[in-house]
This record gives sequence, structure tokens and C-alpha cells, in this order.
Amino acid sequence: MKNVYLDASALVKHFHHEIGSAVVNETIELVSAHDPRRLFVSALTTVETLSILNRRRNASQIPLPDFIRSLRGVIRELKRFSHYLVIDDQFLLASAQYTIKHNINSADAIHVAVCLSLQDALRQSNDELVCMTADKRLARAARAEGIAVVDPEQQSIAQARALIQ
Amino acid sequence: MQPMSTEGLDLLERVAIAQARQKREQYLSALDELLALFGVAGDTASLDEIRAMFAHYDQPGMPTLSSEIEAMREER
Repeated sequence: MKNVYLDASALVKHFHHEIGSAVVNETIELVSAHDPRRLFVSALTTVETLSILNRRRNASQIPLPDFIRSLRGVIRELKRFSHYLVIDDQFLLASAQYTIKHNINSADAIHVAVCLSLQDALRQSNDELVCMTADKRLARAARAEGIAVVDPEQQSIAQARALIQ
Repeated sequence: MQPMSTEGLDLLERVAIAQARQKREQYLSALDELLALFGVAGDTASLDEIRAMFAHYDQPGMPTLSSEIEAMREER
């Protein structure tokens, strides 16, 4: 079983039913059943997820008490994941190279840098990483850097399972 | 991924692992503090309830959250 890093564009599908949710949920269940420590997110995943859920609250006019109750549930769920904590000032600066190399935005570049760092760490113990993202630019850049990618909007449950196992 | 054993590590390596563990604990505490901002005694929705709530308030034609994240990243 490989390790799976989820960016926010994949993780939100776990909380909101939309295209690709089944692939994300199946993957989380599959990896959790084997070893939940193999599911990774970063601080950026967390912040982006909370931010986009709040944006949806505003757009959908969700009453604040209902939203806060759900947000508490989201944070509780997030705590189940392994949090790969490498983002500091030096790391942020170093990730800038990917914005130019792959013509991507800063958030995508940070996710690529996190994946590369995580992949490097995992390979030292002969482990492998798969990045799960629905962001097409991020997926393209990650693949170009040699990271295996599952796009839950493009790949079936069977395809995702084959890549992860 | 196997739990990391500190057996056979030198002092600097042990310190690095201790610092990484401390960093993780601080991060998880920050998530707890975030929760506390919304009320310590507050009720917490289950995963099914979270999904049901967003589905209940979704309006026709709304974009997926994934596509909104892509748009948000490009806006920055």
C-alpha cells in the first residue's frame, strides 16, 4: 500500500458530494483500513479546505450555527490524517522555482514542493507516494516532477485502487 | 510506513525527532485552539451530517468545491 497525499481540491470531496467524491472516499477508506498513517495532508491543505468551506457558507447562506457544527466535524476528521509539516519561510521560497518551471500559482507550487519532500522522505524507507488532486495544473506539474497522481475527477475507483496498491 | 525507532541514533538525530514531534503536537494544539474559537462545548457534526448539511444548502448551478479551489488559487 502506497502513501497518499491529499491536496484541498481532493479533500473537499470527502466533505461535499460532487464529481470524484466516490474515488476520494473509497481511497480514504482503503488506506485507512490498511494504515491510516499513510494518509497525508499539509497545513496548506487544512487552511485551503477551511477557507473554501467558509466561502461556500457565504454563497449558500448556511446559518452560522449549522456551519460551525460542521466545521468542528471537519477539524475532527482532519486530525485523523498524518500532517506533514515542512512549510517554513525557506521552504516557501524554495517552492517558487516550481511556479516558473511549470507556470503554476504559488499554492500549487507549495503542494508540489511538499509532495517532493514527502516522497523523498518516504523513499528512504522504500515507501512510495501518490498525490491525489483534482487541480489540473497541480496534477500536470506533479507528474512532470515524477510524482504519481490520482485525479478523482478523471480516474475511476478501480484505476485509483490500482495506482495506490 | 513503520513507526520510527530511535535505537542506534546519535544525540543530534534524537533531538531532531523530538523537535519534529513537538512541532506536530503544537500544530494539533493549534487545530484544537481553532475549535475552541467556535465554542468548546459545541456540538460536532458527524461526517454524514457534514455531507448532508452542504447538500441541503447547495443551490442549482453551483460549481464544485474543487473547481472553486482552482479558481481561488488562480485569484491569488
